[in-house]
Amino acid sequence: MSEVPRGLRARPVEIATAVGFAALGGIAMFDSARIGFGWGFDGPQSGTFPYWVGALLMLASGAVLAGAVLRRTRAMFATSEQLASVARVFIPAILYVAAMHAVGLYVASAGLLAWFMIRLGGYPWPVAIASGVATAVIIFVVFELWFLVSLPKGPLEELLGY
Amino acid sequence: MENLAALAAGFAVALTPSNMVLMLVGVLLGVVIGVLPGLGGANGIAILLPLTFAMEPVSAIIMLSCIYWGALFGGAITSILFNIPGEPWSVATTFDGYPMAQKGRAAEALVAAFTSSFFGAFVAIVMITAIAPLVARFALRFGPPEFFAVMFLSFAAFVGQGRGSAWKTIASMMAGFLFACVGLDTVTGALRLTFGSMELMRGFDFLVAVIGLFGISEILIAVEEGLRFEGAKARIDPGVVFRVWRELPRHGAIALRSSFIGCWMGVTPAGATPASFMSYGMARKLSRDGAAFGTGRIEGVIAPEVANNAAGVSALLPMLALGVPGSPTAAVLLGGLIMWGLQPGPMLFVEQKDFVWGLIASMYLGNVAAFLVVLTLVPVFAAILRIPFTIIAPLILIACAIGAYTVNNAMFDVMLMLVFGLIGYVMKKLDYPLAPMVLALVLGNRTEQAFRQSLLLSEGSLWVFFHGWLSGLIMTAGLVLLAWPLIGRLTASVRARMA
Repeated sequence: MSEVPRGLRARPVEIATAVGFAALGGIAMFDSARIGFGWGFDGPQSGTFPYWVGALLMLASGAVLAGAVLRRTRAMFATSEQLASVARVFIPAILYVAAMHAVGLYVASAGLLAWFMIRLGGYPWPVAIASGVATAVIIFVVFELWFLVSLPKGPLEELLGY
Repeated sequence: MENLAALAAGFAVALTPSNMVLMLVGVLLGVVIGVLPGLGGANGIAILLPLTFAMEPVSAIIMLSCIYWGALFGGAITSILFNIPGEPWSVATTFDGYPMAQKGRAAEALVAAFTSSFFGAFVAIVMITAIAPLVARFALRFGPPEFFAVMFLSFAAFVGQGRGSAWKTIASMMAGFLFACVGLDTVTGALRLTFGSMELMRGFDFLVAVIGLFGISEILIAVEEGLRFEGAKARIDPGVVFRVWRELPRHGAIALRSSFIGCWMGVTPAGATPASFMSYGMARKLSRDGAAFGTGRIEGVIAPEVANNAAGVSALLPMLALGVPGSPTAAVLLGGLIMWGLQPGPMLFVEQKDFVWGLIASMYLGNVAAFLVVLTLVPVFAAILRIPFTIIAPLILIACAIGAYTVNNAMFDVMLMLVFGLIGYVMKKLDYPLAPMVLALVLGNRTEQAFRQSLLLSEGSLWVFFHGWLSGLIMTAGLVLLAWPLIGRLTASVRARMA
């Protein structure tokens, strides 16, 4: 028998997802009940449609949940290695979006590209930073100057007069 | 004849120099999008849609639909050369396309794939030209119950024709409907599912959801698989092209059958991906040496490529004629119509003749352009995949972020995109289909509106949907489709007991 790979099994994720969907349905039913799901003086009330949609969502995720609870499998959701690779991309993505709030999209984008090139691609950092800056400049020319679309800016752009 | 006159007028719209340039730009972008994993037709168009606000609607749709054609063609390149399907609908193309490339017949496989794609698309466009106006004219008589019935039928088709768990399809769809409900109810002015949040008052924009669900999640799946691109090199010289073209008519039966499957699956919202699998399976089953499939048979490339392009193109038929898109990409284009201030539905053929026929004419031209572009530029597009993923991944992330931001100029949407990306990743891993969610998100408001108006007509009785013969017929068809997985299971168990 081959070695069992370490990582996250499919069953708990399956259960958690089904519970999550069911909760979403429950919340929708609750909120729709608040605004009314009956027959108003001018037709169906606002909550009617989301109420029944929420009910169907609870029914469907209940069925998925029952299936996942009853069926014991050892199938993997993802191995530790796979989860680590996903995290290596997703965590910088979160930081990128957070940084966008503070320094604007251009600086954050340059940073994101440079980070990927240095940490995951093993490029020398002058090359990576130059590529990052070049990317930011190209985005600026295409969007800000060409399409006249204003993207989020930070202190650096302010310093440069934008 | 009336159609042909309208089509000629459409060509006059599409053939202006600026629209021709947009067509070419769209096709080039589309092939690149089709080649890159993590950027597909639906989210590629979603990213670019905000840039078209200021454009003429007809120019905008010409460019965006050409991106779609380009992506449909481009998917085959990576499937054949790298064994990496650039798009889900080209998975079936890898079965025989990649073995052909390994045997040094990459150029042949590519020419066969492109020609088949073109054939499939062409059949579908001819069908749209002939049938769409009739469907639209017929649909002009539709009232709210009929519209609700059509929507019901399309959503039921997901359940009936889906390959995975029916419950998961329903869950994904209902979640999509709920996301569509978030925000201000335009009929009564009530705030729904916002829980006091200002940001949620605007509601979820389906473009942001599409970019997250299809773009971000796709990158996460790609890194998880540890993408390493090792592919065959290919250059197509004219000699190969003519040799393959001489051989292709022998497979005419396969091509015709596959285009029929594609058109059918594309009009119903099952879409291009199952169509390509189905027609590959049919070709193998009906071939005399079906066992040789998977080792590099040219029929194994022709069948899925004809079908997926036919399906991809014909997904626009219900979008144009009824306002009910047949695929996620068509759904994004439909969202575009609404943004450009057009009212989707059968009235489009009456009120926006230039728009509709300009689009249909551009389908002919765009597919010819896409065909020529891929034939001549294959080496260039294949070279894109030799750029390391550590550079491509952040660039796609940046493109997604810009796309999500420009929808409403809101930072909140960029965060929402990441959340949808994570949701999409988990859903994909657990085999929840994403297409029903996106379609529900796009059609949610109009489905609800049709539902409400119908109930107003009947003063609350649900029988209104079975009152008219037409809506009753469509609803019954929908119910049959909805019960299909159940019927299938019953007959299987009966058969098992008989045996």
